Amino acid sequence: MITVQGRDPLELERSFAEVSRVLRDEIIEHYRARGEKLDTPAGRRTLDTNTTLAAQRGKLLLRLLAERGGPVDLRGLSVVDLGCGFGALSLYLATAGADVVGIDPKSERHAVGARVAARLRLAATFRRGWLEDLVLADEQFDIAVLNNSLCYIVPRSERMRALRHTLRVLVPGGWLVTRNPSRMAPLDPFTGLPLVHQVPPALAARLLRRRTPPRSAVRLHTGGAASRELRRAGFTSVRRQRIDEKRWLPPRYQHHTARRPA
Amino acid sequence: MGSGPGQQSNGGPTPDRARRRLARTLARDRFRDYEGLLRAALSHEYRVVSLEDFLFDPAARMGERILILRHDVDQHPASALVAARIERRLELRSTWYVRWRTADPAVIEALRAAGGSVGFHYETLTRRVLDGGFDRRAGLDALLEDTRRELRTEIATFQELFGPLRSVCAHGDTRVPWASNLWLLEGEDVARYGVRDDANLGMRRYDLGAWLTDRSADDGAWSDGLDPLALLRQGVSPIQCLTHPNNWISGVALWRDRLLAASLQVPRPGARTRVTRTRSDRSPASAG
Repeated sequence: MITVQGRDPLELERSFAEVSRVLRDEIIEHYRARGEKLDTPAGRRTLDTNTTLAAQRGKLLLRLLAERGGPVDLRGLSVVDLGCGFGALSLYLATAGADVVGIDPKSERHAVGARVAARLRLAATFRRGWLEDLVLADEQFDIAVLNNSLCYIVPRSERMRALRHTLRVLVPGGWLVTRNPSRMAPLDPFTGLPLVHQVPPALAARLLRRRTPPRSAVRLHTGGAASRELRRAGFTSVRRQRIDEKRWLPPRYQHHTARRPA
Repeated sequence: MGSGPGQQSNGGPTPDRARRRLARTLARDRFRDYEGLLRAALSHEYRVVSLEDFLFDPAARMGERILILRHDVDQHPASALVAARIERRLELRSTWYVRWRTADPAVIEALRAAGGSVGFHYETLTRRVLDGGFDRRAGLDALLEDTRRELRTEIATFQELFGPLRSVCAHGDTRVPWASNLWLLEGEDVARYGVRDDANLGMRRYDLGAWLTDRSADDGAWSDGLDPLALLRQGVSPIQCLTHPNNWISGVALWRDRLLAASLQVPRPGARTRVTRTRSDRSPASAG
């Protein structure tokens, strides 16, 4: 069983290292059972993103919240991880003491996170769901996390639906923290090619339709456009937070924090 | 004399009535709502199964929450493809009952390729009544007996043209409200007709929590005023969800299909055509 470590970052890191190891084994088993290869660049990236990099990402998102005066100690708080994938970030937040609900359309993926949570007795549950059609009750969560998930919703109206649902499930005054690839990045974060991420999604899909492996359809925003979208959805105190170390380059990812009006 | 404020209508078209009549014609497609409904079912941990799987596979009936998908493709066969794409995206299977008029080989192939099962939506009795083939002096029993023979031939023809069938389903024709095609198979040994079951008769063996049927109204209302999302929230099960894809398509698409059907030559049943559109109610069996 993992002991909740609250606000001590080193203890949290050590505790999550064990979670990460178990998750890594489960992900490898998931791929093996499905006969899919992990020994590819994409496979290795998936494994790293969901294990070692999850701690860095979780730490970063918590830092962003703290910088805005948001919660520092997650103990006793409820968090929804929207688009949780294998649930790595959900497990990190649960290790930090939060009660986490991970939502993802692919149930076979979050089943991996659910097995880890059950094995290590972490307060993380996982449900199948779509951001645009979220069936969670109103005003349920203190924090909502959109980590690399909103970009996969392409139609603008659907993105707005997703954000309005996110607003709805937050308690008044609740926090949203988002991380998404930026349209201003020098190269497309998915393919490493120049320019394709800067053209409209339909054109990008047409340009890359013969590419193997196929690139997912995504809508990327500039930081300003993402802020405006959040405001239109009803969020307040919207702020884009720049974290990239190479300040002379446009950031690959953009991070926003916002609040539901109290 | 016009009907101004405070005056009784003289029975002529009022703006409200005209708006109601035009509403469906001008309506946009509502497939987004259909996808939302399916997503809601999955989010509420419903097991979504096709009607044929529910009837014929005991494993499909296991589970606390079950949503059974059935589509009656009454008009506009291309509309079925849109619904099938949504279900494929969500990795769901459903059962599609097609009439002769919607039995487009390419559409049937696509529905099966998407993982769905296809059944025959028969209307042998009502078609015969509409054709004036009901001799009142001979009585209803004689008509049913004769029409049953025709149905058997029709099912065999349908299988010949489109491959094996597991089930059939009676089509309801509002033009002949007093006659039900279901009478043809009620009390009959369905296996003698070359299929395992009739969808309506088969479902009578199970206690349904709710039977949802879509309506053709532009507002997307469901029959009996049922609210599918509320049923899903309450965990009602099993729910049979019967939808007609042509009710969800846009009015413009429907009219385009009607114009094509009216202006192009009617193809033989089972014949491939370049344009997907509504065909004739006639089967080769009844035509012969």
